[in-house]
Amino acid sequence: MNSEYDYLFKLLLIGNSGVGKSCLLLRFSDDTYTNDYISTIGVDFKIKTVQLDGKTVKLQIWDTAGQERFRTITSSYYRGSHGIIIVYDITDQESFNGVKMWLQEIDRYATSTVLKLLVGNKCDLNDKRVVEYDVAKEFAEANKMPFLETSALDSTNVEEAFLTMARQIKESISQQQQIDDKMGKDDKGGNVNLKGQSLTNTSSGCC
Amino acid sequence: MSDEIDLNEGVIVSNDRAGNEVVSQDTVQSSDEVNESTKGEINDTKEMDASEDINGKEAVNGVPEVSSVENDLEQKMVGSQDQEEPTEIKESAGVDVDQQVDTFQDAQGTDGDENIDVEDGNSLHDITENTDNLNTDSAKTEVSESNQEEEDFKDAPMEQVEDIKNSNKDIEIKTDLNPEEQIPKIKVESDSSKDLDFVNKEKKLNENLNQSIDENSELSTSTATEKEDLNDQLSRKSSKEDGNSSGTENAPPALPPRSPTSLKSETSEADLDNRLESPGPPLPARKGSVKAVHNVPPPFKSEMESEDFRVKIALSHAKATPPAPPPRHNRSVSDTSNTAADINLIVNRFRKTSNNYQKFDETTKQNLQEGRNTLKTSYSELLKKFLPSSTTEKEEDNKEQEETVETVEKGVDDHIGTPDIDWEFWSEVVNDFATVTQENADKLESMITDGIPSEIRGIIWQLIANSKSKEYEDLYESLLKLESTEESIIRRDLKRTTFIPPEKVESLFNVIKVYSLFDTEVGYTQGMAFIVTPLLLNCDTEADAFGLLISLMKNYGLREFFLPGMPGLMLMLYQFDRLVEENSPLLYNYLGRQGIRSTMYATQWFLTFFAYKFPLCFVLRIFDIVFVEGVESILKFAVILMLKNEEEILNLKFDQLLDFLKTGLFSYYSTSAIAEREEKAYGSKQEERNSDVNDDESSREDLEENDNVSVLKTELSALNAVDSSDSTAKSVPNRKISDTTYDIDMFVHDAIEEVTITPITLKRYSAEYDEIHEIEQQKEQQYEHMRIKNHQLQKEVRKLEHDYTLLNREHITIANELIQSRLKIETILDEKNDMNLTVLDLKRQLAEEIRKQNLPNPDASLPSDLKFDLQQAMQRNEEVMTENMKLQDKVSDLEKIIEDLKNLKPTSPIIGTGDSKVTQTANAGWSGFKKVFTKPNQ
Repeated sequence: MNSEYDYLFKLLLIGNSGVGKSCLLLRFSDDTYTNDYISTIGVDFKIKTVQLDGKTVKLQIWDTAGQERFRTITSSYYRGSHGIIIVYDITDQESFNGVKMWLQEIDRYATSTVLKLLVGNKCDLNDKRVVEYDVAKEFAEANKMPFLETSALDSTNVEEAFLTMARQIKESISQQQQIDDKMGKDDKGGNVNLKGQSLTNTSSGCC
Repeated sequence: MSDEIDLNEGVIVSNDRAGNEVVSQDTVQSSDEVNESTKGEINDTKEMDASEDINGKEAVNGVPEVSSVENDLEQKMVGSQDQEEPTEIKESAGVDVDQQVDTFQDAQGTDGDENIDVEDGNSLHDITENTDNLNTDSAKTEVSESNQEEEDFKDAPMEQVEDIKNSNKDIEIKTDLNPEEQIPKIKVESDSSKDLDFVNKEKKLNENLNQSIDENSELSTSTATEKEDLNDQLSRKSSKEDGNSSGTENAPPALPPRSPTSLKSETSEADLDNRLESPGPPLPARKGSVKAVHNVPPPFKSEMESEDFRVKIALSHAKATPPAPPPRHNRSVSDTSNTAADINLIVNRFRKTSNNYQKFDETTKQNLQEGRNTLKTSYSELLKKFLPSSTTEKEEDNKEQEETVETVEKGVDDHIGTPDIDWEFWSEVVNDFATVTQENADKLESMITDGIPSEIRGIIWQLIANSKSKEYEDLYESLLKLESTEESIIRRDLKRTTFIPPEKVESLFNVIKVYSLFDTEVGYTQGMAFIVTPLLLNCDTEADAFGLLISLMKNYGLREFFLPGMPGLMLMLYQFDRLVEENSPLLYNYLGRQGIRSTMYATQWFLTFFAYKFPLCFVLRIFDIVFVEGVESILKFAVILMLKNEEEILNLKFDQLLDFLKTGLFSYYSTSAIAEREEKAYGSKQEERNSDVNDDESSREDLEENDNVSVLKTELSALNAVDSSDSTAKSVPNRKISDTTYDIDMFVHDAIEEVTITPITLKRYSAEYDEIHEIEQQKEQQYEHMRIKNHQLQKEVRKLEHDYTLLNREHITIANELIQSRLKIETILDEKNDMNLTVLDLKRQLAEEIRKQNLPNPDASLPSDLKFDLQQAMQRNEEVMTENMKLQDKVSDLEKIIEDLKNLKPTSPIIGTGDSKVTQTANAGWSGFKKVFTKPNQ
């Protein structure tokens, strides 16, 4: 067991260009905010360690370029992810419409057991809102994923969003563990397997 | 003349040479030369044929032998070069010149397997006829001259030679028409493309030729006088012809028009040597210069490891680059022309640019030409500004393309801000980039490595990229008015970019928007802004930047990076991986083990030319290199950054490592880091010094290097100071900071000098990539196919499962039904049994009944009235019986009386008689009874 952390989860942020993925991540990892964040080229990456039910969980969060052109590069990051956060902008209908497409991408590139979370960002701009909470909530429920509205600007729900994701993953892992235990595969904790698992390894392992 | 002819001619002349050599055995000098050249030739031949017996012959070294070897060689070359060469030509070796010319002409005639051959053969005649002075001899000279050229190419793979042929065809066919008129005509052409002064050149050439002819005639005194006369005459005529031919050969725009005169004269001399002077070395000094180093050349691979060799190859190739054969100069190591492009990025890049240029139509070319002229004008204006004292001189210089050292010195003195700008060199670049690439590629590289002076950076970029054109400007103006669908996205992205001065943002937007309209397939891709910004900062107008962008995209292949799927980027990432692997397997493997892939960090490098995270001043220098060497040169920077930081990288784990790769790599070149390293190096070197003297020396060298670097650095800061006062005043603070923090020169120098990337390797990698990519795509397709299939199958399975459950349910109901029916049957059976029993019972009963009925029954048979009768009868009987009883009683009474009476009469006779009387009485009783009984019946 690594003393540094009990779990390592890989999260992926996807969503249309300009919805605030990088800002969300920056708020979560560094608790800062900048309005002029340079558009992500390719992928970016941040680490954040959080405490979850008495366990140390290390989150490895990949931030992707939202522009469709970059999908060749970003698509290879789906496979290794434990959780995928789909972000849209509540002031941008287009970005919400895009969520469906992103779900297809997940369906296509990610492992079937990957956990999803829908996040409506920029909820501080309530006066410019075009995507209603209820509509999004309904949509999320229909697609069996939790939903949160966040604001990277005033840091509403940002931490919650990532923690929700982490908790979900942890639960699913412990469930998996229980199943494994039941099946008698007692190889001392599934989290060990997760550690040191490179993206390449995981990605090659799944298809 | 056509190379097709040249091929044939080459052989003839070689034979001629061999023949002549036999004649001039007594010329010691020349025979020595022959030996040497033969060696060279042998080496050459060995490279092609690796014939063993040539080795053996070489060892003998005797002149006659050599000549025969030569003969052999020639024959071999014939075999290897032109299989179709008629054998009669070989046989003609050693016969006198006229005869050979005849033979040649025969060969021309007989060898007419290609149209061009015939045409050129004819044209040769034309020339002969048109020029009064020219006879067959001069034609022959022409031939041998061409032969020299041909020899220059003879090591080149045949296909390359063919390439050149093709590229030359047009021009050469033109020359056939009218040799007299052709000179001015070509001059016009070349004027339009290269600003050549052919008349001057021709003059020079003629002078040189005459000069060399004189020398030649001196040399050839030993040969037969008749021959000498012939040669003399020949050479005189050839000089004219030479002038013509060289003029024509120079016609292609890519040709070095301003090759140094000294070189030229040498060349001509050498050629004339070959042609006229029988013992003259067939391939003069050049053989010794490069090839003669190895009698048996080491494998190409090992040779390539030597920097010297590479440089030489690159140089020699650079010389030979132009699509048309270069005017014969002796330095051009016979080798190939095209392979230069495989080794030198600059040449490769230039070739691509000029190829692209060739593809344009006339108007585009003209526009580009005008654009170039405009640039040149603005350059000379700049020169005026910077070198006020030598303005007039400069202008002249620009026009005549001759720079004097004085001017340069003055320039340096005059301009304090730009201490070391080599105006001479840059003027040369401005005036004729083509020549510079071909003849001065190494200098160009080093100059570019030092950075293009920021004052002229924009001009140089545009000249090199050949991007300024009225066409683009018009296009830009017209497209600027249109609206792009991606405008909002561009705006949003620009809003969140801070690296460009605010007043330039609108220009940036415009250029990007116009490009997205111009190239809809690429449209707008995030990251473009990083490419456009440096262009804008160095161009006066948006249209210029737009032109540069188009050139980068289309001509330099940057477009591939931004196309959907980003094929260019993916390829470059692969090439990068491979280069890292090759340069440092340790690093490559470490990164692999850490799970770090190049897409994670290098994507931003390549898509933005490092502008994404790295300081702008670096980026400008990188752009300098990119414009000269092509987009591929980005790899040099990427690789050097990786290599320099190897130690650091190997100490980091995934999390920190990725961060470091993204942002920390440049800190290697921060001044503080450099100082630290220097100190360290110094310390360690001092330790070593104690133990080893050699190390001491090397350390000193190192230190010197470092000193140089810092000198360069100060220069650069000065440059950038000027730069910032220029067009880009707004970005001064940024750059100042970076200037003081980083040593850009060291970086660029390291990248250029320490990382060798040849187009040939890149090509190999790209072939590998294509293969892998194809396989991957196939896999992907397969995967996709499987996925779809899987999906379908899953659907089917689900459907089947559904069906199954349905069936199962049905089955269960049916089974239940069955059970119930069985139960029912059971009960029914039971019931049936019961019924059967009942039936049986009933039957029995019935049978009983029937039997009973069948049985005789008196009671039953008696009718009721009979019964009644019976009863009456019985009653009556009873009455009768009772009556009877009464009667019997009476009878008994009566008998008693009788008895009593008998007792009263005597006994004797009465006894006997008495008995009979009792019986009679009883009888009478019974009969009476009977009578009574029967009476009621009657």
